Amino acid sequence: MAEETKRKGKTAEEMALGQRNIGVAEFFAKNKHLLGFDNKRKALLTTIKEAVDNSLDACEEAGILPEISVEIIDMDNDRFRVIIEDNGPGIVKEQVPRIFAKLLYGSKFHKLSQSLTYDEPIMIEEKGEIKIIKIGEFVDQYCGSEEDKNIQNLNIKVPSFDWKNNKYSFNVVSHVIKHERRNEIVKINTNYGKSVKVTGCHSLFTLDKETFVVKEVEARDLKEGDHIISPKKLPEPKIKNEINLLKYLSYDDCKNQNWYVYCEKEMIQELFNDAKIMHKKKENDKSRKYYQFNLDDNEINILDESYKQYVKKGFLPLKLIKQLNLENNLFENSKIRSYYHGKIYDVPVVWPITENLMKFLGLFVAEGHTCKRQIGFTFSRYEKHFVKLVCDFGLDFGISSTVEERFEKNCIRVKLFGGIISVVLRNLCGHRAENKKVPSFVFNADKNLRQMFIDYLYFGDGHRSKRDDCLMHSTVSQKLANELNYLWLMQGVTSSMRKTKGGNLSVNCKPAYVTSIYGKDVDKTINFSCSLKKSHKENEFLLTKWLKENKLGALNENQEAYVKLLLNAEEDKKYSKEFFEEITNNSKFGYKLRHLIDNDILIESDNQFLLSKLGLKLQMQLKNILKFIDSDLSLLKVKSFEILDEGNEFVYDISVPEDENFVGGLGGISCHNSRGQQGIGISASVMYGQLTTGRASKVISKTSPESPAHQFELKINTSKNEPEILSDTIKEWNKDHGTKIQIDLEGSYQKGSQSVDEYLKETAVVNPHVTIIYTNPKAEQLIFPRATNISPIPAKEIKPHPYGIELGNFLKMLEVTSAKTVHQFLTSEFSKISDSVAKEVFEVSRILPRTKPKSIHHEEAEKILKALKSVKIQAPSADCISPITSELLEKGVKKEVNAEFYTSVTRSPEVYKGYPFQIEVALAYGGDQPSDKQANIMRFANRVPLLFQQGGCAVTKGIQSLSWKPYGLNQPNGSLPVGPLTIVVHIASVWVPFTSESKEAIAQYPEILKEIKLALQEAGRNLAKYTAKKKKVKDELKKRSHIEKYIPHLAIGLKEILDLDSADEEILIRNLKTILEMKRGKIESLEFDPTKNEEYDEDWASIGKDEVSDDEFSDDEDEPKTKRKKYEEDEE
Amino acid sequence: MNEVIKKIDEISKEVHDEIHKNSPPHLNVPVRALSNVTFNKMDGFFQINESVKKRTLTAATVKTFAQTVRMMALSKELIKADDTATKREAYYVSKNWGDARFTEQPESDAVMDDIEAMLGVNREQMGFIPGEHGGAVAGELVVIDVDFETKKELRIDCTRFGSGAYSIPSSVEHLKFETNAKFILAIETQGAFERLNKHNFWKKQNCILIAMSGVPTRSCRRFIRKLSDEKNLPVYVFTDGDPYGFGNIYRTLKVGSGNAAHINEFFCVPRAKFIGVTPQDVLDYNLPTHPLKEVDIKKIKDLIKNDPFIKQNLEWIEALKMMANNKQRVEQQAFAAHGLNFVMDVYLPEKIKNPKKWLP
Repeated sequence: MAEETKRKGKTAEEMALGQRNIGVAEFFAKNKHLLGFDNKRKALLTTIKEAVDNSLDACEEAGILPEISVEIIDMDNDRFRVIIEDNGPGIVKEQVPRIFAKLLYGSKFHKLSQSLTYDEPIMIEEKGEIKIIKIGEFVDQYCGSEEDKNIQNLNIKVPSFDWKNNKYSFNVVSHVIKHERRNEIVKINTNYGKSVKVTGCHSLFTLDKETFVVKEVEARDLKEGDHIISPKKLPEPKIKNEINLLKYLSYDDCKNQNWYVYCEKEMIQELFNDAKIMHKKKENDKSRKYYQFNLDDNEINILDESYKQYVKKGFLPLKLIKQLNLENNLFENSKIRSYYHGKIYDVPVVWPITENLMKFLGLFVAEGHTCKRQIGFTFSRYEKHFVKLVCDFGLDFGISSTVEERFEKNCIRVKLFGGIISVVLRNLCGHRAENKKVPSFVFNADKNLRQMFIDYLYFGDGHRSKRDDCLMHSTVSQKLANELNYLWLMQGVTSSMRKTKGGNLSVNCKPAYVTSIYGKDVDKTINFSCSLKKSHKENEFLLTKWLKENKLGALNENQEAYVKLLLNAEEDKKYSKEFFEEITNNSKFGYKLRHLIDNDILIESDNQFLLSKLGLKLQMQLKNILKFIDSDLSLLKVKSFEILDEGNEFVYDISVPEDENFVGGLGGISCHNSRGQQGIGISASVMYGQLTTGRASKVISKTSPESPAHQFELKINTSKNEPEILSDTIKEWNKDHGTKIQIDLEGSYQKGSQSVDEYLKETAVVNPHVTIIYTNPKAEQLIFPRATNISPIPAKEIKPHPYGIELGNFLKMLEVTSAKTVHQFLTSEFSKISDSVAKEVFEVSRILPRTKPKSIHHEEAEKILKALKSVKIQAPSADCISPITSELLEKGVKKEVNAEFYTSVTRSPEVYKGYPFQIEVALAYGGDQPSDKQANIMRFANRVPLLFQQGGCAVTKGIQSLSWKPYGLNQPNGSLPVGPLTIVVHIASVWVPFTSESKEAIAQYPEILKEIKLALQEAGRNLAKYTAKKKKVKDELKKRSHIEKYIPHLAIGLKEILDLDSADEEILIRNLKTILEMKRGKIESLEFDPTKNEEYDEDWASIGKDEVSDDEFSDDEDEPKTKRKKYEEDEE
Repeated sequence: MNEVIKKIDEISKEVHDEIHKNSPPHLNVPVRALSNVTFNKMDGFFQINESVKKRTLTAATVKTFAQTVRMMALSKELIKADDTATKREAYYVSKNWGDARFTEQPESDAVMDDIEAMLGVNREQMGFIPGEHGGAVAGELVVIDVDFETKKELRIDCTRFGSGAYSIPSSVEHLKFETNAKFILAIETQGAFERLNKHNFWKKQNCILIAMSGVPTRSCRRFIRKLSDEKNLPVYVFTDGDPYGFGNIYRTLKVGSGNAAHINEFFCVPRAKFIGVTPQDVLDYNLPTHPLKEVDIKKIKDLIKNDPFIKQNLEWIEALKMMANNKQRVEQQAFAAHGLNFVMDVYLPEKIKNPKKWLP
C-alpha cells in the first residue's frame, strides 16, 4: 500500500540506499523528516500527536470514553517534558517495550540487514514453475549493486505461511533486497540436518513456550535446544501434465546437429510471410533470393531454395527454430527427427508426464549417465526389472536400446541411442554425478507422480534399512540432495539430511549427502512401507510432551477424553458432572474428574465444576497446539551454531507483503522478513527524546482497579534496536485503569497555526466524545470538555468492495480462495455482490460461473474485473467506516469560527483500490473572517487533524480544482478561494492513503479527489443560496439608504424653485418617505450578528492563533470596509 | 416672466402637488436617442418623436430625481440673475449639495440634457453654456458682436486674422453678419482649414471657411445655420472619407444628433451639401487609402440599418456600401500625394463646380 502512494522527494527506500553501516540512531536521525521530527517545533507536536492518537485508538477499541490530559513543562534550554495521561485500558508489561521502545521498521525500513547469504537456496514459483534457486542468484537478476527493487509486477511467488491459520500458499514477492553485510552471519544447524545462514539480526520463527503461538525470534538470540519453525508441507504448485522438449534445448545444443522438426506446412509459410524478401549476390555466384529475419541486432538469411524444401517437406531445422526464438508451443504436435547411422529417429516434441517417465527419470538421476549420442544405465544383476522399464520407455518414444550383460562385473548395461534425448536428459538432470539435480518440472507434477520419481530415485541410489526403519538416499550432488528435501516437503514429509565424510563409501573420496526418512513417513511412499510403526513426528510429539508435563499424560489411554474436555469447557461457566460425562462419553468418569481436581485443573463448588485459571491456560495452550498440529508448520530443534564473520560481502532478502516470510535454507526453513506497518508510532518519540536529551522515558500503566500500577523506565538500545526496561516499580496510582507517558525531549513551543494548541483543539472538534485537559508550557490550563457521550462506532473490517480492486490483488484472491466456483468466489469474498449481480457479471464477461477460481487466468480475470466495473453495484456499507456525521462536524466548526452561515455535507461511502472511504465537508462563511484573505482550510483524516503539507494534500488539490466563483467567492486562477470562508474536509477510511510515514497529507487518488470535489460542490451550492440572498439584501439596504439620503435634496430643490417654507419642506420630506417606503416590504435581517452563534466561544477560537496578528486584523479591518462603501455609492 | 422659469415652476409645482397628495411624483423626459427621432424630410432635420420616459420617483431613481430638481433650481437662479454657468461650473456647484453631488461631469451633463429636453429649450436659454469653443472662421465675413461691458457694437473682420482665425463663441444668438461671400465651406480638420486659410483660398473662391474640428459643437452648428439662413449662403462640407466623417460629422451638422434631438430644429444645417471626400473621389483622383478596420465596417452597417437620415438617402447608402466593398477609407490630407496645393487648386474648385458629384 504505502509503497504505491506518491510522494514528493525521496522515498525512505531511496534514503536507505545511501546508508551504510548505519545504526538505528543514525538511521532515525537521517530519516526524521519522514517521521515528523524535522524541527524542534514539529518534534514536540508529533510526540503529542502520536501519544494522543494511541490513547484515542486504545479507548475506542476498549469502548471507554476517553479523558486525556496533556501537559507540557518547559525545562529551559529548549527542553520540554511531555506528560500524556489517559483513562484507556492500560498496557500489560509484555507489550510495553513493543509499543514504546522498538522502532518497527515498516516494509520501507526493513533494510537493516535482515538477510540470507548468497548461496542459501529458496523456493520460488516463476511463471507457474517451481525452482529451487540460490537467493543471491535470484536477487542478482534484478539488483546490480546494493539496492532494493520492486518486482511485484513480475508475479514471482514464494511459499509463505498465513499468520492466521499457519497454512502455506504461494504469494507474490514484492521486493528483492541486496546490501552489504554489516553484521555477523550465523549458521544455524538443526536436527534433520537442515541449516540456514542468516545475518545475526535476521528473524526466524519459533513457537512461544508459554502460549504455543508462532512468533519471530532473531537468529542471534537462539540457543541450542530451542526450536525453530519449518514447513511441514509446502503448498501444491500449478500442476503440469506435459513437457515441451524444445524448452530444454538451447541453440548451442543443436547448432551442430542435424535435427529437424516436422510440422505443418502452413505454419512454415505463415512464418516466412513475415520475412523480408531480398536478393543478394555472393562472389562468383548469381544473385539469389533470400528471406531475411531481423532479430534484435541479428540478421538471419535463408535461401529461397531452402525455404522451398522446408515447405515441400514440412520441416524446419531445430537450430533455426532456436535462432528465430520461436514459441515452443507452436510445435506441440510436431516431432523431432534425427538420424543415427542412417536410421531415422522421431521423438515427439511434447512428452506427457506419465508414471513411466517419472520412473525413468528417477532411475536416470540415480544411475544414468549421458554420452554425446547415447545414454547409459548400469544396473546390478538384481535390478533386471529396471532394464525392462528403461527399454520399454525407450520404445514409447521410438528410441532403440541395447542391453549388455557384463558378467565379470555382475552388472547389466543398458544403452539408449539418440542425441536429442541425451542432450535433453543432460539438461534436465545434470551432467555427471556431482551435478545431478531434480528435473525442474518434477516439482510441478502431480503429487503421486512426484512420489513415483522419488521412489525410483530411492530404487536407484537408495538404501532401505529395515533395522532403523529408514529409507536413505545418498548422492555426491549437494544440489540434488537439497532439492530432494524440498521435494519431500512438498509431499508433506520432513526428511533428514546428513553429510558423510568422503572417502569411506565412495572411491572418489567425495563427501556424500544422505537424505533419509523414517518410520511412518516411509508409508507415504508408493513402493516402500514402514515396518516398525515408529513415529518421528515432532508435532505430535509436542502434544504428548505437553500432556505429560501437565500430568495429563499419566492416564495415557484417556488422553483423548481430556483433550475433548478442555476444548469444550467454556470459560466462567459452571458444569454439572453429567456435562463432563457427556463430553467424554465414558461411564467410568469419576476417577478422571478426581485427577483433574487434584491437579487444580477443575474447581469443585456445590457439586458443580468450573475450569480453574490453570485449566483455562491449559485450554488455551491446547487449542494453540492443536492448531499448530493442524497447520503446515513443524518444529526443528537447533543443534548448533556457527558464527561466520568472513566472506559474504553481500547479503540478500526478499519481501512478501502481509505474510512477510518465505522458505529458504538447506532443506527448507521458514524465514522472516519484517512486517509492514502504517506510520512509525510513539516509539519514534521515545527515540527522539533519548537522542536529544539522553533521558529515559517513563510509562505508568494500570490495567484494572485490582492490579497495581507499574512504572517502567525505558530506553532504546540503539545498536540493537531493542527496547530496554531500566526499571519496573509498583506505584500507587489513583485511577482504575490508564496509561501515562512521560518523555523528555528537545523541542520548541509556539502558539499559532501548526501548534500543539491548534492540534489539540482540532482533535477536540472532531472527537466530541473526548475530554482533553491541556496545560501548556506557560502553565495555562485549557479544558476541552466532552460534548457527547456517544462514542464513535469503531471501524469494522469488511470484505473488499469490487470497485477499485486491482488485478494483482484480484488474482491473488482467486488463488487463495476456498470457493469452489467463481460464482461462489465473487459472492463470498466481496461485499455487495449478490447472486444476481454475479450473474450479470458473468453474462457481461462471458465466463462460466461454475469455472474453478484457480483455473481463471490473467485475461479472464481482467474480463471479470472489467465486467464488475460496468455492472451497477451497491456502494460499500458505511458501517465499516466511521464518519463524524455532518451535524457534529458543523457543531465543531461553529465552536471554532464565528460565521454567519454554516453548511455541511456527508457523502455516501465510495471506494478506492477496494478500500471504502467517506468524505465529509463543512463550510463556514462570513462573520469575523477576513474577506481579503485565502479561505482557511482544516483537514482531518479519521478524526486526526492534519496540520502540515497542506500544499501536497488531495484536500487542497480538490479545493483548488473547483471553481468557487459561482458560490460568491473570488478565486485567483487555480488557487484557493479568497473570501471569508473556512473549509473543513474529513476523510474517513479503513485505510487512509497518506503520502508519507509522518501522516501529514492524503495521497491524490482520482477517486478521492472526485469525492472531495463532489462534496465541496454540494456544500458550495448551499453556500451559493446564502451568498445570493445576502447580495439581494445588500442591494435592498443600499436602496433604503438612498431614500434617507436623497429625499431632503428633492425637498430642497423644490423649496428653492417654489419658495416654500420650512413647514412645507417638512411635509414634503415626511410624505416622500411614506411614498417610497410604502412599496418596500420588511427586509430579512442578514446582518451578521456576532451573538447569534451560541456555539461560538471566543476564547476557544483564539487557541492556536497568534495573538499578535489578531490585533492587526481588527486594525486594518475597518479601513478598507468604509472605503469600499464610499466607492459603491459613487458607482450609483 | 421668462418662459423657461415658467416651465420650471410648472414642473416643480406638479411634483410638489403630487407629493402633497402622497402619490409618487414623476418627471416626463423625452427619450433622447436615434431610436426616438425621425428624419423630417420636409424641413431636413431630425425631429424628436413622442416617446417620453416617465421617470417616477422610486428608491432606485430618487438620487437622479433629486439631482434633476436641484439642477432646475440652479437654472432658475441663473436666469433670474441673468448669469450663465458653463457645464463644468454647474458640475462644481453640485459639489456643495452634499450627498446629492455629482461625481463626474458626464453625470451632470446628462441631467442637464434631460432638463433641456423636458423643457424643450436649449441649455443656453437655461443659463448653461458649453465649455468648448465652437470652431474657427476665416474669409469674407464681418461678425457684429456686442461688448459685454459697454454694450457697444464690435465689428470683427474675419479677413484680418492672418494665419489665425475667428473663434465662434459659445452663444451665437445675438450675432449679426455682413458678407459678400458666395458660399460657406465647413471643413472637418484644423489641418486642412489652415492650409486653405494660409493660401487665401477664401479670397480666390470668395467664401467663408469654417473648421469644425471633428463633430461640430452646438454653437458651431447654430453659427453656420444662422449665417447661412440670414445671408442665404450655400454650405459645402468637406470631411475625411470615412464612416465617422459621414455618419457623425456631416450627419450631425446637417440634420442634428439623437442626443440633442429636442433642439435639432435650430441646431442643424439642412441645406448643407457634402462635397467630399466621397468613395468615388478615391477612384477619380487615385488617392492613397487606409484599410477599413473592423469597427469601421460595423459602423457602416449600423448607419445603413439604423440611421434615420442615411436610411432615407439611397446615395448615401450606395456610397457607404462602396466604401465597405473597397474596404478603404481616405483622409482629407490624402490629396497631398498629388502636390501640396492640389486640394485647393484642383480638387475643391472642380468639386464645387460639379454638384453631380456631391452627396446629399
